[in-house]
Amino acid sequence: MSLKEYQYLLTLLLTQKEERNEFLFNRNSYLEKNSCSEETISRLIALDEFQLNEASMGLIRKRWGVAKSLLQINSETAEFLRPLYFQYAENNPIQGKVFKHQIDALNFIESLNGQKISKDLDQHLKNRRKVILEYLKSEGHVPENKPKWKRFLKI
Amino acid sequence: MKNMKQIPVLGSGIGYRNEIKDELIFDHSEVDFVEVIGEHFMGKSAYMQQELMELMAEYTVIPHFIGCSLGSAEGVDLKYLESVAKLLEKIKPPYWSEHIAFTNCHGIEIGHLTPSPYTQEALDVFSKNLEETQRIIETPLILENITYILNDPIQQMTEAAFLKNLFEANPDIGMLLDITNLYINSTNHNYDYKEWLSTIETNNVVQIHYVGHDLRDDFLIDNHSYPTQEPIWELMTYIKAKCPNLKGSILERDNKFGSMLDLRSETKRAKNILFN
Repeated sequence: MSLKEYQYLLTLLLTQKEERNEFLFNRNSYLEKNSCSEETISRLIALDEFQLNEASMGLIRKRWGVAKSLLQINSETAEFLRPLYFQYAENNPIQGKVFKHQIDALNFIESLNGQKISKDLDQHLKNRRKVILEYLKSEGHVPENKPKWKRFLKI
Repeated sequence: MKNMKQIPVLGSGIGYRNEIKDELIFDHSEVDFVEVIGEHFMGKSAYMQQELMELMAEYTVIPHFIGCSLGSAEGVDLKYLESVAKLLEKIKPPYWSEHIAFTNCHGIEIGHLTPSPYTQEALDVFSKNLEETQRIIETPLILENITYILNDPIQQMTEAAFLKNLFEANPDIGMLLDITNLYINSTNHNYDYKEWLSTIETNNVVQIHYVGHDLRDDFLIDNHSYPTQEPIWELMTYIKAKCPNLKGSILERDNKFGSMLDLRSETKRAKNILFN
């Protein structure tokens, strides 16, 4: 087995809802499309569906926990934003290393463009965006305008 | 771990988080040392550097990292390791720690610690990455066992055998035994933690982590948000005799901190179990 190949596909399945759905809908066809080695196929084809979904949701829950605290929102606002965050996070993997959560919070705020949110919340999120950007600037980090995540070519 | 004897006994400590900063700076009661998340202090912010200086003036600080991705088949990020080395140079800790996991692949950050399959190939990858890491960073390194939800369906070896082989192949590396992670995995994946502990080399354990767990849909969850439950204290008592070279324990709370008094009573209890 190529460990590289396995880690790459597992990463896709854990972080990308569309990839995971395609895989769970028809594992053979998904793995065939990715021209996996036989050992990777036998390893991935036997993955437990509940565990795979739970592990990927666990990643998002963990991200949401940090995002909530960076956005400094009360529990009522958190309840309102939670489904929107999960919707955003399911197909937008975290980016960057050291400041990944700050960048995630900024990208989430960006993703709310066009959503119906109250004026107060809109203002609060604008303020938080400014604070996070100032923090990143103080750390000497300028967030890049990265394109939306794209599938990598076969490795 | 070859240089184990050079590491002093640190006692019972706590994971430093900004939420408990003031209490920790002004009152040392029941806290012998602190562990910081290394990545929080890798930037240039004067505020964070000041925070680190304040901590270092009060406590021995152990940096704990989460982003080195030492299990990555693509190899380690040398630039990242150089930043780690720079921070370690500033803190001068007796050791630093990371996880037995990979956290990114092909430019995608997974956002969490993910296990490699327990195979010889994964062992070789770890050994190569650890060699590279030790070439850049001289400070002794200890590695932590992680929790996992996703079970590798085709195991060449068990997790315990994998860890045993990993530490045997890398004798300069010590172990950070997270007893909560061990308890969670043994419950979720239905194995006996005593058997697990009899497989790995526990003489190698330098530090432990502990904290309470959560329960969701019959699964124990490691969210670092609850007081340590009795079965974890029992496990701590059980491992005491098995880890004769233990130097420190860290209470690893990330959320729902509650009162500092309660946290201090936990570190006191750990000290009584492990270091008295």
